[in-house]
Amino acid sequence: MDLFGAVVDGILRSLTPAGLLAVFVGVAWGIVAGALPGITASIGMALVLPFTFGADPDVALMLLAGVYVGAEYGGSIPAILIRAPGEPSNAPASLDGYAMHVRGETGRALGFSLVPGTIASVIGAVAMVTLLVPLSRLALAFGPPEFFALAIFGLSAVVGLSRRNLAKGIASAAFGLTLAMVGVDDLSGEDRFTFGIEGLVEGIQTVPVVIGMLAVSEVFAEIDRAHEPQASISTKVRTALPTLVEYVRCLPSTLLGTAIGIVVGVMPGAGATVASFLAYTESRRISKDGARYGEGVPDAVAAPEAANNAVVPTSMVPLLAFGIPGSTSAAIMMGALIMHGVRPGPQLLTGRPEIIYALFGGLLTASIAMYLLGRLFIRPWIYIVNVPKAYMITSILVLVVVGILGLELGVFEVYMVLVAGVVGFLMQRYGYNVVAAVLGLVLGPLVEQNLRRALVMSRGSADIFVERPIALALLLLAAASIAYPLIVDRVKRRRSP
Amino acid sequence: MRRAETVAALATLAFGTFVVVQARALEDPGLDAIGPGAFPAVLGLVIAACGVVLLVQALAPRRREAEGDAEPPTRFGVLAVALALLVAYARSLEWIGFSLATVLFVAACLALLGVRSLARLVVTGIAVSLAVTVVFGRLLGVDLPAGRLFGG
Repeated sequence: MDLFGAVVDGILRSLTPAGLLAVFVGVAWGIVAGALPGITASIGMALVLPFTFGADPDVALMLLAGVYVGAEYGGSIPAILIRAPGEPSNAPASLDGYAMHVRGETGRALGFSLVPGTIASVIGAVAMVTLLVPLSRLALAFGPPEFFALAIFGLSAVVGLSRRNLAKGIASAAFGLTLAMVGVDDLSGEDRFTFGIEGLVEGIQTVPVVIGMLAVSEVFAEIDRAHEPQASISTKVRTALPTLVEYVRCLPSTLLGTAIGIVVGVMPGAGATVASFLAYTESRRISKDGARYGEGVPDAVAAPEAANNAVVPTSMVPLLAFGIPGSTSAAIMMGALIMHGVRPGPQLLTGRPEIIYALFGGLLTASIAMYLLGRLFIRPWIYIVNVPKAYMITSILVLVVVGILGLELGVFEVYMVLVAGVVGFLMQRYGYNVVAAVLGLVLGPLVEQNLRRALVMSRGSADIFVERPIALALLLLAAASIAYPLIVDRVKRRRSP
Repeated sequence: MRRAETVAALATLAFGTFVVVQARALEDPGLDAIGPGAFPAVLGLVIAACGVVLLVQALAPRRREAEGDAEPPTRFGVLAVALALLVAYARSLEWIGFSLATVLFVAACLALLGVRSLARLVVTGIAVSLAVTVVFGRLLGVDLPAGRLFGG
């Protein structure tokens, strides 16, 4: 099948009734989840993950892609209206977006998030497919040492971002990897860390732990804060949108944001938040209103909001090309793929390309769906921010339980979700890195198997990681991504005594 | 805060040590280069080493740049009740069925989170239970337990 035909097939797949339903439901839920405080894109994805169980794998991916796309817009709603970003990646938009809202230009601010986000999302989807082909070919040349090194790089990139405490970040990643070791070892048949508990023999299931650690832990955090007063928004806002001319005027900063989002998205660990902050500061240089950033400038909303939407498709590239997720959202996608018996990695593009092109089609359709849903229902989305926390928390807990029922898991897994929730909450509460732990759990089997295969290849000598240039380069990058933040902090400390 | 850091450090150190001890106890049938216990043992060592670093950080004299964390104390009591409610909810599903268990759970959870109007508790409970039954039970085909009490 030629590339063009495959791409068209993918788009058509997303336009079937099942595809359209998955995409629109996904985007609508994504906007809601994004707008709800504390519920990030990946939590929104984790919450719907169980309901993809019965669907085809490509429809499952479309639903999840829809949630991810929608959440990046949804998060900008509370950012603009109450200056409380629904997602960390919407924080830059809360600066100028909120200033515009205060001036009575709420609709304009939302428009400068929605339209650049849509444009970026479409360009990002094209970039994803364009990058996949050469990268998958590169990945086919990878052996166990390279995959081991790449997985370690992915993990350390996430750890490097845990600024608050590096030791806790490393411990969190190692903790996640350790969890992945539980169960019967494939190579030797030995039971590891099962302690005679039957439910652990087949290993710790990823999906319940991901739901517990990401979603349930966050709900616990919300319960902890539930007694604090909640900001409420007047829904009497002006929803006049920007004009076409104004959008065109924002095009340079939109495209700059998109480019930044694409580059940052492909790199493991970095993600939407890094991209949107970078886009905010960089677009300031090219914007005519650069000097007035912070006072409510369209460019200052358009650039970061384009960047966080461009990250969505490109952050799937490491997962689809190499089988190594570089973010929690990609890790959830990986969970969905594995749940459906699809192994992500370089064989995917040659073996089951229809899944990749269906994801591409889903992302494109989701971009359009985001625009339509965002444009048609400006006001209803605003009401969502006003939902009292008690009701939100309770509904999400019910949703978690229904999700576990949907997975047809046993009682043991229900407790697994709860235990993971408690562990995740405590980790978060004491400054550990939950994201690194989740990624460690997902990457664990890959890391260990490739390490052991590499050592079999070299007859036990670790030199194999130094002798193979790609493996060495990746391991050096891994070391650098942990050392870099340390050095930067030290330099900063010296400069500001 | 200081004490919490020390406890976290000790917990990290203890967990790492536990992993090392458990991993060392695994037999190596010699099928591959390093055996099933080697990688977990390394992970345990890494975790334990992080624990030592954290312990040093926690016990070291405070730096000038005292972190200004005036975080409010965690409401462990409320969280424990929420967790107990969730366990009770999960357990009661097979007995009293999804519909009734959900009404009770929603009402109890809302009450815990400060909703005080009885009418609201009941109405929301029934509304959520009905909505989930229709959307997930009927439309998405999730198998919601009917409950043994009701012949499910």
